[in-house]
Amino acid sequence: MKILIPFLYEFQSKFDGYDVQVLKRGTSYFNVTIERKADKAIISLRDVLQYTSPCNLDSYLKQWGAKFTKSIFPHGHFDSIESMRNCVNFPEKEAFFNTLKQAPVDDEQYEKAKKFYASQMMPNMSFWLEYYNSLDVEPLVEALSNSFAKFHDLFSIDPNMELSLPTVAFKAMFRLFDPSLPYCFTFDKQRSHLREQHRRSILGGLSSVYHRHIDLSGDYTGPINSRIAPNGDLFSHVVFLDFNRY
Amino acid sequence: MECTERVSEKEIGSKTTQQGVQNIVSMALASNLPNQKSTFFLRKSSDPRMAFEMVKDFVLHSFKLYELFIDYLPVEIKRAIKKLEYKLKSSKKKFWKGKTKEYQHLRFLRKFTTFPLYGFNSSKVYFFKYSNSLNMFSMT
Repeated sequence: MKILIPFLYEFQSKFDGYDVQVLKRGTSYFNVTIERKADKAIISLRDVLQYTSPCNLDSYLKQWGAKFTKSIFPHGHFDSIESMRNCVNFPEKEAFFNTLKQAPVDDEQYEKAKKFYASQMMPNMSFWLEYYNSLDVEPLVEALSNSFAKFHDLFSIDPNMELSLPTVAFKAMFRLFDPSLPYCFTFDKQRSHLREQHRRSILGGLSSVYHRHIDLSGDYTGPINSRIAPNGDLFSHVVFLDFNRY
Repeated sequence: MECTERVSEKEIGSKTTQQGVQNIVSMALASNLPNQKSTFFLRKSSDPRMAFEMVKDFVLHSFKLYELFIDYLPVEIKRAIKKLEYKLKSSKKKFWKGKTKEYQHLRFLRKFTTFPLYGFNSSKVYFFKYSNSLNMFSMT
């Protein structure tokens, strides 16, 4: 979405009657909406990862019973769409080197992809891109439908109506709560020993470990946010406090 | 959405961080609306205007799907929205008992008319600078 948003704002400025709203939360674009003002038609761009525990596409599709054919694309090999169109032959294996993971492409996967490219008689690599793109989106629709149907079956909740998993969980929790019971329950003084017994059995809870990139080397090579504090001064030291211990 | 990537700097801070340029080249859209095939949008050329043209086509196509989505929406929901909108707009009273509740119902019903489009791992914000058609990215 970070790539799409500038174009959406351009779209809003060039076409009257459209309104783009971006809702950012933490380190992600939580919800991006495009509204056609004339009929209040709203399109909402969301991330599937807001409705599941952290995972990659492969495991998400497997988890929700969608068929996924993993394939490869040389993202770093082409510098323009023209070079992609001019590439008639399937690129060499080196072109598929993953620079982020610093890993070469799997031999079997490469050979399989190369054979498929030849068997389909694709005129150039832009057709491969179309195939590669469709491999992602079609199974994702199937997985998402299966996942949301399960939410509906088990909790009578439509996740399309919510923006993230915590809200879905919150609503599911209240739906599972017996409405005939009082909303809150605590032990009175006479039964305080039960409360203490309960608290004694608590061993720990959820915890989060955060990462913060701070560059104290002073050689100006790191990203700006790793070197300069919000007040404009250079970082001199880092203190990480665990508030559970205080 | 697929992009071409040109890595300009490697291993800044850690082994899994890199900086470079991402250029959008294609978008694909699949839907579970009946009788809808997946649609593919390919950038026509490297001209920065063509990237915008592609996104524009994508947005306009999404609104076409929106029309279809609304057609499948139960008529009761559409009727209820119209009824509530009319009541809230046409009332001469500024305040009345239950007005907040009616707004609450309207907001709830309008959620049904929002057309959601999902991407996978699409929301993450990495710090980046945006200039002309180039997107500087830093991915960890």
